[in-house]
Amino acid sequence: MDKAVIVEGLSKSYLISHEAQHRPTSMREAIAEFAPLAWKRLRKKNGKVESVSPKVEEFWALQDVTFEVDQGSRLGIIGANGAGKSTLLKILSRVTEPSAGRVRISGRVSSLLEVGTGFHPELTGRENIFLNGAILGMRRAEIRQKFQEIVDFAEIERFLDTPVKRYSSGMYVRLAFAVAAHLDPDVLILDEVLAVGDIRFQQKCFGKIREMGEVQGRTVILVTHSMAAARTLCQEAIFIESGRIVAQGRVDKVVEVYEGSLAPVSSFGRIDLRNWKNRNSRAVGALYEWAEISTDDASSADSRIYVGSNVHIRFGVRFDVSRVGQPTKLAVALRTSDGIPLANMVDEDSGFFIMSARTEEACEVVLRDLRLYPGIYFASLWVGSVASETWDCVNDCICFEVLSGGDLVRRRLPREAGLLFLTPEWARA
Amino acid sequence: MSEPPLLVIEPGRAQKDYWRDLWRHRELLYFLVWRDVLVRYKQTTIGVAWAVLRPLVTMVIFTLVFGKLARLPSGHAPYAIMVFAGLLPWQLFSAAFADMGGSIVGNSGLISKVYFPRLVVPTSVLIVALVDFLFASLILIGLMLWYGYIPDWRVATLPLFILLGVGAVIGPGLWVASLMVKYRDFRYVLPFIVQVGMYISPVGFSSSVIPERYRLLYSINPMVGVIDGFRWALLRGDVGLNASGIALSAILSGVLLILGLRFFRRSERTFVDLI
Repeated sequence: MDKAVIVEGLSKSYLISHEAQHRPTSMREAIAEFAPLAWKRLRKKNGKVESVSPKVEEFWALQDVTFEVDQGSRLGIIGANGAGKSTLLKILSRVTEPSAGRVRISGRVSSLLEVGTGFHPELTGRENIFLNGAILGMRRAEIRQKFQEIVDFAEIERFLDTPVKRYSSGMYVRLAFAVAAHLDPDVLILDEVLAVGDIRFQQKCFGKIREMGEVQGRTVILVTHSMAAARTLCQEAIFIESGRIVAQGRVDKVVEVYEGSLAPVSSFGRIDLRNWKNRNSRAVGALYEWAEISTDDASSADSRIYVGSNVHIRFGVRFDVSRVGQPTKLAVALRTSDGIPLANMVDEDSGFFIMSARTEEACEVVLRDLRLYPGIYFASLWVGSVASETWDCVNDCICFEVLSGGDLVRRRLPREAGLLFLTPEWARA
Repeated sequence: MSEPPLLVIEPGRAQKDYWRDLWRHRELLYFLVWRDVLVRYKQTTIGVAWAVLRPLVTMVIFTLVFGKLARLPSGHAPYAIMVFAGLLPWQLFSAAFADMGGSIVGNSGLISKVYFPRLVVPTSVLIVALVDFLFASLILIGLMLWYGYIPDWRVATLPLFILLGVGAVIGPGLWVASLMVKYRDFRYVLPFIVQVGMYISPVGFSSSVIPERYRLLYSINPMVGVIDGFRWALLRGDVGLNASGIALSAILSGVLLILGLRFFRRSERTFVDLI
């Protein structure tokens, strides 16, 4: 079979300086650093100056990556954040140059590293289709010819002449993907662009990508964090870690290697929230100071969370003196790693409330028998007035992974099959 | 079926096919210009007013200060027209210079996600500045009708001087665009440079007020030749043709253009890694 993509010994290095503040990123710094150097050079007429440059180290984002992709096959690239997946895609799509090695791609290449690159909020949907199409490398005639198809796929007919700044995020993403889906390349490069939109539209995109490969014989290379997506979309995969290929071959095999390499990501132990950046808070009110998550599952000595474990979330809040004695509301929200909201648990729903007599409070929320499918989840903490005025909201401060295992699980639980692991009563009726 | 195109990616490769690649991306250039013009003139009232009002107000002020208060000479032409004939190329230069300078950083989202020869971005901005220039030219036509001052055959040479002005801005514009990627605070320096540039160029006054023996030295500023050329073409040769100044300007612009282009080409490979 013909090879669509041949990658040989691809490497990419960046120079990183250990003392970040020493790399001049502004003219002021550049001058301030250069001036003493120049002065020294002037005084020592021979021009030899002992190096005052900071320690600069070569960082290899990719090292000696070699693989091939058959024409018409779909390759998934998996690996943890920072493993070099995106760097690889950036080289393949020519956004950045490799430091060594060679890539040969036969046919027209289109890459989609981001959904809606170059969309302009002031322009209408119609105008953005043309603009985005041109950015992705389509000819004007080609866009005109496929225009109706794109509009139909995106389901935005009625809003075609509305500026996209008025679009809902769902519409925006649909439009952006629709343009990309109508590219006509021999090789399509995708970066994690499917983790967007609602489930129904995601399914539609999955279908489109599969159609591109199976029906139209196009080659697809995609980066994904979703093992489910990798399994359904790709035949082959490569697993990258620290810039090197760890495993490559059939997708099932590679995904297995990858999943085996994962340490539990749950952040056990106390997390200091005082300097947590991702939060919405008011200056006066209350502030979350710490949080921790744990499990009391006797069967897991290493405190892993399995399907059906009891999960404890503890946190400390500091109330402003002015709030002491006022009725308050507390809430814990859960979401999946794809951003789907799962639960918003408010204290009053459980018949609990604090009318704090102190400035410091610590509370515990126990989620008994948590029946979430294996995967990574995030918890956010909220505190405010009974009228739901926000005092502090710490987003995604607790991250935990539910592992496949424990006493309940007897089969593989693919994430795309569901979110809740329910064991209802079954009986003959 | 024809042989599918073979794309080879290796270190230094993009530089080899650069000009062919640039030609291939001409439609992208067209769309980027279209986007910027569309966005600017979308809110029509502000958009057109902006291109027209800015030079108009500057012209009125210069005419009052230099023409009426300082009583500087303007030959036979009305002072307002003399000022405007200099203001037009200056505005073209300053707008193109400032916008080109910020263009790479301003389009970083695009640059870090899609491949195309980076030269497309500053070029598109330059063309947008030319469009604004055309709109501002309408005022000059209006002024000439108002004063009943009609240029003679020399106006036919105007495109040449427009070209000279564009040539003068490309080099410095590209140079600043590359520098800005590395040194972000350059953006605070830029307006200052533009402002100083206006005072050392003969915008509000005719370069005939400069003593003859310093004229050539003054022409080291490439905009002097461009502005003098504009005035010569538009004011019926009222202001003598500063031939040596124009020649000097053309040579300097050419040198700056080559240097700027080389600097840009050398830096653009690392834009993505720095942005």
